[in-house]
Amino acid sequence: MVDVPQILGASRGHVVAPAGCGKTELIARSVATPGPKPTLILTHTTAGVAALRQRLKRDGVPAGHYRLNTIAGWALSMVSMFPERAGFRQDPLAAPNYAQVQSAIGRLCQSGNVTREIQATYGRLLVDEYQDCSVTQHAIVSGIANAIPTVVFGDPMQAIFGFGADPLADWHSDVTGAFPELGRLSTPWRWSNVGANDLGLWLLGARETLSQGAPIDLRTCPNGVFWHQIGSDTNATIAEQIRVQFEISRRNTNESILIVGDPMRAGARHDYASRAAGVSVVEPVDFRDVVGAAENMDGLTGEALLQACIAFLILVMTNVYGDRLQQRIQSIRAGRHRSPPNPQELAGIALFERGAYPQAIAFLKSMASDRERRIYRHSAFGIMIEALSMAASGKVDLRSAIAMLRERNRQAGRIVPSKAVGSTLLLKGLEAQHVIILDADQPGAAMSRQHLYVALTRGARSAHIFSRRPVLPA
Amino acid sequence: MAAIREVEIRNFRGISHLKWRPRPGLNCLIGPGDAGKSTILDAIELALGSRQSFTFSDADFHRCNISEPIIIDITLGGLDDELINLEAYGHFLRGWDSLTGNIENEPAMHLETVLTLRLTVRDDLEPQWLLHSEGAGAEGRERNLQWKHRQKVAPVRLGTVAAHHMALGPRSILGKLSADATQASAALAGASRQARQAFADRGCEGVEPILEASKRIADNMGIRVEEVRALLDVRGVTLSGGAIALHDEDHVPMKSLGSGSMRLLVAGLQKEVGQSSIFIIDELEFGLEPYRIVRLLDSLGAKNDDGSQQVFMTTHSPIVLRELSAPQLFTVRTERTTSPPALSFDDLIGMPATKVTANVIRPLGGSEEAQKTLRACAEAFLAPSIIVCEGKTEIGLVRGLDLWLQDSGNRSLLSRGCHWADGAGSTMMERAQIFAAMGYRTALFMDSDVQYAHDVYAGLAAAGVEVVRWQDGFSTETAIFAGVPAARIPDLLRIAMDWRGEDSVNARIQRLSNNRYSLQTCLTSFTEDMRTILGQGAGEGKWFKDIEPAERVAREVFAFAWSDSGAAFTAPVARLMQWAGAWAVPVAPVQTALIAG
Repeated sequence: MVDVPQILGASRGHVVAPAGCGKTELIARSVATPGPKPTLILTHTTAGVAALRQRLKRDGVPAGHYRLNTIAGWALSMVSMFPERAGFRQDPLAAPNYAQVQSAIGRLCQSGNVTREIQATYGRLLVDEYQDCSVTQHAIVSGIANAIPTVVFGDPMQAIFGFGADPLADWHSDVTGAFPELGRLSTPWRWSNVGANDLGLWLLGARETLSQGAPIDLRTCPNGVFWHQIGSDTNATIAEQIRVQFEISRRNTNESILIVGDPMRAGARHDYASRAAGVSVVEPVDFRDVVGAAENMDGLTGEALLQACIAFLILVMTNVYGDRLQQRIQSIRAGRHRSPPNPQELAGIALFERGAYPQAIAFLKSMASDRERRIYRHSAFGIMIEALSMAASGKVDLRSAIAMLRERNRQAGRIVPSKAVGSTLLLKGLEAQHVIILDADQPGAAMSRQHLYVALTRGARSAHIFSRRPVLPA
Repeated sequence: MAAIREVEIRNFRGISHLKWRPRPGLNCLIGPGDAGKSTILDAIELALGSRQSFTFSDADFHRCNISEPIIIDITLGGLDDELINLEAYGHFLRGWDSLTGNIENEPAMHLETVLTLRLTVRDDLEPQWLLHSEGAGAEGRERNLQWKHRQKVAPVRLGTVAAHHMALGPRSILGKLSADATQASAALAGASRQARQAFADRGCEGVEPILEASKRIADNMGIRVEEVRALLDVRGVTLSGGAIALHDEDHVPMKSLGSGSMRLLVAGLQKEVGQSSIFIIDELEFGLEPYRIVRLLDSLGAKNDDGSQQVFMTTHSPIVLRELSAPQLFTVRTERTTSPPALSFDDLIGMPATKVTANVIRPLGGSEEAQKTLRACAEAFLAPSIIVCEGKTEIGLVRGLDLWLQDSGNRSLLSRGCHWADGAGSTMMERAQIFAAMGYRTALFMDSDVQYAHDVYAGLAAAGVEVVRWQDGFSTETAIFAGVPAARIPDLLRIAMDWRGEDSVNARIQRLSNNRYSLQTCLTSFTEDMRTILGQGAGEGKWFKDIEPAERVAREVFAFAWSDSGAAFTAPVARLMQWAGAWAVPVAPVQTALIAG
């Protein structure tokens, strides 16, 4: 076990924090102890920053006790102060080149040129999710550690990030070398808090087994882990997945479910959401396809804007039937229609006839209110409506509006609906009462032991796993 | 403790441009009246001070030229954590190299982290205080020092009037000491309430008829008033911070202390409990007897320069100078040079000669000889021109000549800004160079019995030292006896007799002349060949080797025989006096009463 005095007394160290074992709680309590200077807390993603901020606020930790940032964000602010010493100048108007910014600040922190200033500003450094730390970021953190006491928190078994060109720092050599182990967390609070202590302990055991490279048998935790076999009939599997999800919801009304879908293909996850009523998609922070759709709409009016709106709706909504809708609009305008136009068609006509963003918003909202159709990507739909409203005010164009909203969302963190589908990467850091893994040993995309561990630990009460074999990884 | 590492002033009053790196402890500025000493102190106070109400006028611009802004940059080092906080000042932190004095755009391990405060005044006369950095990080950013930090670095100034420091005003040292001003204001508000209550309770004699009349008239006019009372007007007894002042045990306000005592008290308070480590004192000696000057200097760290406070002071007192250590002393000068007319090759138009003023601060430096010079020649430092005299004889001659000038109704050397300094023999050249390096107009008055290599004189000339000496081989004594008219030889001998005794002078003459001459023969039957022997004897016998006899030589002998005297003596002396501005041409003295016995 590790306690707060140990964290505060250490000049350098790392804490191994398996999922759900009270890491955030420990960080919050360490920061709650007042010191002469604020604690710098760094993590990797803006979502992580938002989650920590919410937690610290909820715990009533005074904001003056800490400074919270992403490593990249902190590096960016440093490079704006010391471009000469860092040897890199970031144009404040251009999109940040985070790779260069971080490697420049890594060198700066290592150089000792800003040691005094860091000491004057912060009392200590705590870094969350250290398993996701790249080699470059590790240079920054160990540079700061030369100036102030530094403790890093993480779990090598949850290392599923990958920055491509910038490899992760090796936990056993790089991290342990710079930050000796202070201890490890071993109480599965997430599970014991909801009376699922068995599952919590089983997961800790599974983590140990997986970390040694051995496979785990998903049939050995009768009340917490449920294995579902994937057969040769794909449709039957999908039907079974949806049945399992409904069954969980039927038995445990209002309990949240995270669904771990295809790691690579967003389209496959969208498909699942479109079929399983009540499930929303967890969007990546860059909202890539939404931004693309907004850029396509930028500056359009009338028919072209209507078509762009329909193209967008197909991405986020079931039963759009765009072709049929456009045909109806043509026949209504020509007076050839027999049945009276419905609200969606009327909104479509208004948009078609030289309509602009306000008409586009009305059309999209009308479509969303149609009981025949269902939005399964609520956040994508919401951000588009908001962007169109901003653009309709005439102050910004649609392209800038969507970019601003994306940045705001990045800072604010995600609001995740109670039933959500995403990849392991997207769901990392989120938790629910139940987790369903749709395909753990998909040929060509089988889950690694880290992915498996992260996915299994998303549910506090139960974990349902679909796979071909019950012992994983194969 | 915060300390000023560099001061840079542009276009402020008498200063067109000045860049100065003061030292961490005590900095004493001396220099002629218009050199800008007070301007420098004002600049520091304005740029660093927490007083934002100062009103600038066109006269504050150098030569009233308002098209060029006043810019005062103060670079602060010794910053505590709050001042090098990345979040507050990260974009403005700079690095100062203590060895070279260079300031780099950003901090570094081998540099001290500094902040530069800039005060800018443009033609709208609105002062603007901002942090300044040339680094890219500061580009497009504007940030001022936070108020609490400005108060921390704001200097305390002890002007000639210190009375305002004896009350709790915003600019007083007591005001800076009272950390919790709100308690003072609560107490003041309470006091005014009590005053009103006390007045109401006691009433005011003779006011009753007025009150009754008021009530009656009000009733008649149909204005309903229950009761009319005479109370103190709320506005009349509102007390502000300045109302709290220090008093002694007899309730006499300490504002009525002598100005010297008050200044001592304020300086002591600043040293003991002042928040700011920067202290400015005008005319340190003002109102103080010598022993109190010494005590004040002591409290300022003149002897024990531990760097706990940085002091900027001016003085005109040699007593102050003697108490200082050499590195603490700086001269301030305005130097006007005229750049010669030039031909521009591009357009073949002649450029007129332009006057250029430069403001320069020069340190005395820390050498052992500098320290000795400061102790021995403190007065000289307070004059613009200095004659370094080889020894006491030369000093005596210069003093005698000066007295003769005054006797004959001319202005003294001192009034012409010229002071003499003791070269103390072997160190005279070093001393002359020390003065010249500090920007003093310097002459070296020496004898020529010791021959120096040519490059020694060349070195002195290069340093700007005017060397005045006798012709080669002549000591001062031989020059005196070579130049004096025969009729005045007895006067010289009488001075020697007064000083060394008749027997001694006689014995020396006899010995040097192998008994051919005696004092008596020299007095009564002088022959030209005696000059060499007498010159030699005067040297060996130290006949004039002190200020008094040498002074008499000039004042009592040459003064009355100048036009008859030989060039061996008069030519160098006349050159010296011309250099000092005392003589346009050698003048014949007015023959008045004969003082010499």
